[in-house]
Amino acid sequence: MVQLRGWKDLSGSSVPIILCGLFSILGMPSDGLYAQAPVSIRVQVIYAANEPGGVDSRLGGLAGELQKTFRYSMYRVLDAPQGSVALNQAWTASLPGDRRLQVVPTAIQGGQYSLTVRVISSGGQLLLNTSVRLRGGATVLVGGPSHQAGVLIIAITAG
Amino acid sequence: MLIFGDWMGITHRLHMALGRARRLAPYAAGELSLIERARVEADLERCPACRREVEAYRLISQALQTSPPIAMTPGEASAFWPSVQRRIRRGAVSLSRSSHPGFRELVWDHPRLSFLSVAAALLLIIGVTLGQSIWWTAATPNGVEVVSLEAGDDASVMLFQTPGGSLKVIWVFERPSSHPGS
Repeated sequence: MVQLRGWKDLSGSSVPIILCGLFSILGMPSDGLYAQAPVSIRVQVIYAANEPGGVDSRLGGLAGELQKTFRYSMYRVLDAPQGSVALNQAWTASLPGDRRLQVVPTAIQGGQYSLTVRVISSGGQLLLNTSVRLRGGATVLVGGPSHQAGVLIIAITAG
Repeated sequence: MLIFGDWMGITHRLHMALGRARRLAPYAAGELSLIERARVEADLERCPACRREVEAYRLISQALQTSPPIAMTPGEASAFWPSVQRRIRRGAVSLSRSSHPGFRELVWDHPRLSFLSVAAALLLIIGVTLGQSIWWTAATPNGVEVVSLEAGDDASVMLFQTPGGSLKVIWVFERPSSHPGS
């Protein structure tokens, strides 16, 4: 004879399974849910050179880090494009000198964003192709392309 | 005297209703007095169903008498009924379990161990999640990990991080021909 199991019976054997399932879902929602959500990308295109001008106030906390890392006297934000893009979709921003920056988010896992970053020259040739993993809000710098009397430094943040 | 015979067991039903059938088992066991015995025998003459019942009692009685006697110590005897009552309270599910409980019965169905298993599972999940996070944070204090780095034909690249700084920098060295307009 089949008997329906009551809540009291459930408390013995099934609760661990139910709780494990719940905590698995609640504890690691990122992959399943974030995979559907677009990835926010913020970029600052910075012109760095040894010329008068000081440090652009729009750099915020990044200014101090740049001054600790590089020996340029001037840091100016030329552009600050930002946008949202789905996984495995390319997000593109224009860079000075007819260059292009392409960012493709490829995975989100445990609050970390895997990105493929490409810098493409004016002639359409690939200058840089890199895969990085960023914690949400962390910034990676891509620098070096020459611009006027100095260089471009591109700060890329995801999340 | 029954004129139409024991049609549809009416006599037996009458005996049941009057409580006479209760004497059939003691009769079969030979535990009635002579007078009672005579009354039952008179009833049996008129009731074939009662005769069949007596015959059944006798068969059962014989079967029980041929079973080996069960001997219990006083301690076992005093513990017997409480143990039966406990098993009845536990219900059919516990009765159907193996006398050698498996891992699931020991760990999951026991209330305290069940709670401990929940706690252990939670700790494991939290530990693994935090462990990964802590490990990754320790491995990448600035939250940046460069997985792969590749330069195009017209450039070369370098990855660096200054000792005092927290920024990870990918530096691109362009060949002069690739940036004519800059």
